[in-house]
Amino acid sequence: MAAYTFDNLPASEEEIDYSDLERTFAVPEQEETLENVIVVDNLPVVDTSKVEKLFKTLTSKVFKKAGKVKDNGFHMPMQEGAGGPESKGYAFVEFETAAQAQAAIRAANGHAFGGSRVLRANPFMEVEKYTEVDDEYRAPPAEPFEEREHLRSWLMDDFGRDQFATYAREELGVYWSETAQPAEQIKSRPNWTESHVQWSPLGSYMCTFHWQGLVLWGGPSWSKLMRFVHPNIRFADFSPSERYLVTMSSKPIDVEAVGARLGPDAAHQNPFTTADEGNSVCVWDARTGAMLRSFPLPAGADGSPAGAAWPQFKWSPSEKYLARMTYGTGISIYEAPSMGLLDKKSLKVEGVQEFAWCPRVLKEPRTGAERPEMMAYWTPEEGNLPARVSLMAIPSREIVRTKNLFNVFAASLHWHPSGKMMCVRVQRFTKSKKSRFTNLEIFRTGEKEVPVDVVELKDSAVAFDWEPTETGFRFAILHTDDPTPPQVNSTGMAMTTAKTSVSLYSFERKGKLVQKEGFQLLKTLENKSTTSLRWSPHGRYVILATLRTATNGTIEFYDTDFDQAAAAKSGNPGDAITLVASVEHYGVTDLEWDPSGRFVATWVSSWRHSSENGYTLWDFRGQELQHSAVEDFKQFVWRPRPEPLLSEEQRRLVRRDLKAYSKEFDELDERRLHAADAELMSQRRRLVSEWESWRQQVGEFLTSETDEALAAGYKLPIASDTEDLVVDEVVEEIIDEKEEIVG
Amino acid sequence: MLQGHERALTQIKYNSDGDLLMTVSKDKVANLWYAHNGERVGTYEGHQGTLWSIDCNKPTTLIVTGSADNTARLWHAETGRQLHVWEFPTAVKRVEFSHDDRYVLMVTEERMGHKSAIHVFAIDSSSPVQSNEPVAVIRPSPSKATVAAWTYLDKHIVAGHEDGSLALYDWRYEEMVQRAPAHEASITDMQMWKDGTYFITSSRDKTARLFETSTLNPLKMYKADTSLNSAAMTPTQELVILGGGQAASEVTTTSSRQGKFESRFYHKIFEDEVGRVKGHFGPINTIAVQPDGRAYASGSEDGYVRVHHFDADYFKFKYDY
Repeated sequence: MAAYTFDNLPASEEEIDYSDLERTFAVPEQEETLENVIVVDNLPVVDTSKVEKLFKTLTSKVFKKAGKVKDNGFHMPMQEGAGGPESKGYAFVEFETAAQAQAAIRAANGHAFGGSRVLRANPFMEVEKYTEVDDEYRAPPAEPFEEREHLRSWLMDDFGRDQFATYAREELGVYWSETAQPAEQIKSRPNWTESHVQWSPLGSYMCTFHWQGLVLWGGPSWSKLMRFVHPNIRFADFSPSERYLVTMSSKPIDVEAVGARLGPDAAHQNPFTTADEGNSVCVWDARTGAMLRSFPLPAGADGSPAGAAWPQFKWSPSEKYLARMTYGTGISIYEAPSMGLLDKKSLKVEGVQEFAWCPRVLKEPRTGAERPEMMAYWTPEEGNLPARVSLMAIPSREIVRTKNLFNVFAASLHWHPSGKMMCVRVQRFTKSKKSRFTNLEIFRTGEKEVPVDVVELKDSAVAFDWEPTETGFRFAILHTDDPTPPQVNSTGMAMTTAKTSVSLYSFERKGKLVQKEGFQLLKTLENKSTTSLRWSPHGRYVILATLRTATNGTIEFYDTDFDQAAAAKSGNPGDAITLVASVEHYGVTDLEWDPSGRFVATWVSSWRHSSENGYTLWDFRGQELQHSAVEDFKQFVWRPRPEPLLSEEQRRLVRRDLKAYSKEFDELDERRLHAADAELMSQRRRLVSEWESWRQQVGEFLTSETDEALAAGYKLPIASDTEDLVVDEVVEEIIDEKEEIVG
Repeated sequence: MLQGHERALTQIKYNSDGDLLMTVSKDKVANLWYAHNGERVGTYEGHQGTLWSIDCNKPTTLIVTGSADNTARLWHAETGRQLHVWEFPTAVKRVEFSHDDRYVLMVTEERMGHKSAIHVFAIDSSSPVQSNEPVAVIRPSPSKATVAAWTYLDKHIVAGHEDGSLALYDWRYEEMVQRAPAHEASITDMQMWKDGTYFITSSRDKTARLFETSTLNPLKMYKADTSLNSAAMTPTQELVILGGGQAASEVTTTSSRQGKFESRFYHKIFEDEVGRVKGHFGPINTIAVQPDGRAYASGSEDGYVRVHHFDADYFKFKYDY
C-alpha cells in the first residue's frame, strides 16, 4: 500500500490503491482438472427411464461413504439399442474433490452390484492414459534366461554341518556350525539388515529387513535373490513351502511416497497402485516377486484397525488357502494365488477367539486319497451358549466335529505336527469361580468320528508341546499352582522365578481283545523353575529351560528313552525318562535346537538383557561345545532344513547301521581337529618367532642407543644392591602387662 | 588383602626391589607396605585432596606423590617427612621418576582454563631443597594428557591422551616427535617394560594394547568385554594382567558377577585370555606386578588392595606351541 500519513489521506475510499493487497491475497484460479472424475464400468444396461433410478442406487449404496457427487455430475453415454436408447454400461461420475473420487474408486471397485455383477471403477485420468496405448501388440523383448543358483547347496556340505546366522552390533554374519573349533564364517557384513534377520521355513532364503522393504538372499554366492518394496516393513512370513510371502508394515502404504522415494527412473519398481493406498499387509509370490494382493489391517471390535497381530494370515498346508481372523466376528479365507475370497464371503463365526489349520493334508488310510483340509477354531461362552471347539473342512465348510465346553476362561489350540491329533488346552474355572485349572481335550483328528480324550489336571497348564515325531503321540506340559506370572521388567526379563512342574504324557494302546486306549501320565518332574519346554526336532530329547529370568539360567537336558531297562522292568515307560545334564547359562534369553537335533544354541540377547551377551552351543547331551561372548549380541537363528527325502524305511536302515556310519564320521572329525590344531600351533610358533626376532632387534637398537647416551654423558641408573638383604624380623610378644596408677 | 584405605585406590606401585608396595587412594594418604606380608610400614600424610599417583626412586629413598589438591610432594621414604611441595594451578594426575632418578615428570589436569601440561623437574637427591622451576614443560594438544612415562634411557616422554592417541615428546626441546592414534577412547594406564622399549596401555575402549616405544607401532591387542582401568605385564611369564569393570556409578544397579571386577590374564604374544582372578567387589583401578614376577597387587574402587602371590602351578604354566 502506498504510504499514507495524516497529511495526505485520500478523500474517499475509491481513491485508495488496493492493487498491492489484491495481488498478495489473490486466490489462484482453480485449475480445471479431471482428477475428481471417475469411470464406473460393468453397470447394468438400462434404458432412459431407469437412468435416474440407477443413479440413485449408486449414490445411496456405493458412493454414500465416499463423498458427494457434484450436481449434474453423473453422465451415462447412451446408444441406440433394440428398444430405443439404452446405456452403454458405463458412467462418468464427478465428485467434489479428488480425494472423494479416490474413496469412491475404492468403494466401487469390486462392489457386488445387484448380485453377480461386480463393478469396476477407474480414475478418468487413467482412461486417458490407456487410450494412448498403441493398438498394435508389440511383444516385449524376451529376457535372457538366467540360471538361478542352487538354493539348497548348503545341504551338500561334506561334513553335514548346519548353518546359522548371528546379528550382533550392526553386523550380520552367516556361519558353519562346528563342534570342536570356532564356527567358520561364510559371510559377514555390517548393516546387512536394519532390524533383524529371518530364514524362510525350508531354509532356502535369508530375509533382511530394510526401511524400503525386504530382501531375500541365498545360494552359494549369497547374492541378492529378490527384492520386495514395502516401506516400513515390520514382519514377514512365508507359506509352508516358501511359495508365497506375507509382509506387514508399521505404517499404511502411501503410494505417492513410495513413488517419490524410488524416483522417476525406478517407477516400474513401485508395486503399488492407488488401490493399495492405506493397506498394510501384502501377499507376494516369493519366486517372481510379484505382489498378489494387499490388505488393510482387520477392523477391531470398535471399528478401528485391530492391533498389528502377527501372523496376519495362516496358510493351509497345501498353500491353497490363506485365512485370517477378524477377532470376534469371523474368519476370511482366501484362495491362492488368485487371492479371491473363498465362495466370495467370509466365514461368520460369532465370538471367534483363535483358529488354526491342520498342519498336514491327511490321507485316507485305505485308499490314500487326500482328505479335505481342516481348520479348528473356538468360541467362548456367550449367555446361555457354551464355549465350543469346532473342526471344519475347507473348502466345503462342513463341520467335522464340535465339542461344547463349560466354565471356560481361555483356550488354545495345539496341532500335532502330523495333523492326526489336536489338543485344546482349556483353562477352566472351578464351580466357585475362585481358582482355575486346566483340561486337555485331545481330538484324534486322524480317526473316524474324531474321538476326544480328556486329560484333567489339578492345576493350570501354562505351556504345552507335542513331541515332533510321526510315530508316537507324546507331549509335555508345564504346569503350576500359581498361574500369575512373576514380575517382568521393561525388556521382558522376569525378576524372580516361579515354581513349576513338568509332566510328560503318552498315548497308549493296551489290551488285545478290548482295546484300552488313552493318554497316560509318564512322569512328573516337580519343583522346577522352568519357563520353557523344547523338544528336539526329532523327538526323544526334551529341554527344560529357565529363560528370560534375571536370576536364573538353568537348562536341563532330558532323554525320554534313556533307561529302557528300568522301563521294561517296571512296565511304566515313564521310568525311562532321565536327566542327562543340568547346566547354567546366566541370564539366557533364548534357546533353539538346530534342525538336525544334534545341537542346541542358547543366547543372551541385548534386546532383553544388557550384560553377558553372546551365545553358547551345546550338544544334545548338554556338553558345552562353544562359548562366544559378543558385545551387543542380538539374534541367533539356525538355518532350517527342508523335510528329509529319505523314506521311513531308509531312515530305519540308517539307524540300524549307525555304528558303522558314526565311526566314519568320528574319524573325519578327528582329522579335522588335528588339522586345526596343527594350524593353531604353527600360527603360535610363528607369533613367538616374530616376537623374539623383534625383541632381539630392539635389544641391539637399545645397546647402540645406550652407548650413544653414555657418550653424551648420561648416567646409568644406580643398580640397586644385588645381594639380598637379610631381614631380621623382630617378633614382639607381650609377656606381661601391668597397669600402675602413679600418684 | 590390605585394608588401609577408606576410599577407592588410585594407584599401586612396587619399588624396584619389590619388597615394598606403595598405594595411594582418594582418602588423602599414601601408604607404604611390606610386600611379602602386607604389614604397613607407614603413611605419608599432608595432602588435602585425592592422591592420584605415586612413585619412588630406584634406591627407595625418595617418594613423590601427585594430588588433586594441586600439589605434588616429595617425601623422605624412611621417615615420612615432607621434603618439598610443588604447587600447580590444577590437579596432578601422574608422577614418575626418570630411569636415572634425576628428573621427575608430572602430568597436570586440564581445568579452570588451565591447559593440561607435563612438567619435568630436576631432582637433587643430595639435598632436601628442590627447585620450583621446571626443566621443561610440554603442553599436549588438542587433547589433554592422561598418562605419561619415561622411555628407554629417558630419551623421550611418551604420553597417552584422552582422545586415545599416543605422542612421543622430546622433553629437552619441549617438542613433539611423533603422534599416533592408538585407542578409540581415553587411555587410562600406561606401564613400561623394564628396559623402556615397549609399553602397555589400557583404555576405556575395552582393549589393552602393546606399543613399540621408538615408533609407537602397535604390537598386540587384548580385547576385554569391559572398560579397562589398568594393564600390567609380568616380567617372567609372557602374560599381561588387565583390570577394569563398569563405572562406579553403575555398579549398584547390577550384581558383582555382572560388574566384571576380575583381573584378567592374557598371553602377551598370542593375545588369548588364559584366566581370571576374582575378589574385588568394585572395578579395579590399578594393577602392579612385583618386579621379580612372584606376586601382583590390584587396587579397586572398593577401597581394598589385594596382593596375590602366584602359586607353583603358575610358574609351571606353559602355553603349547
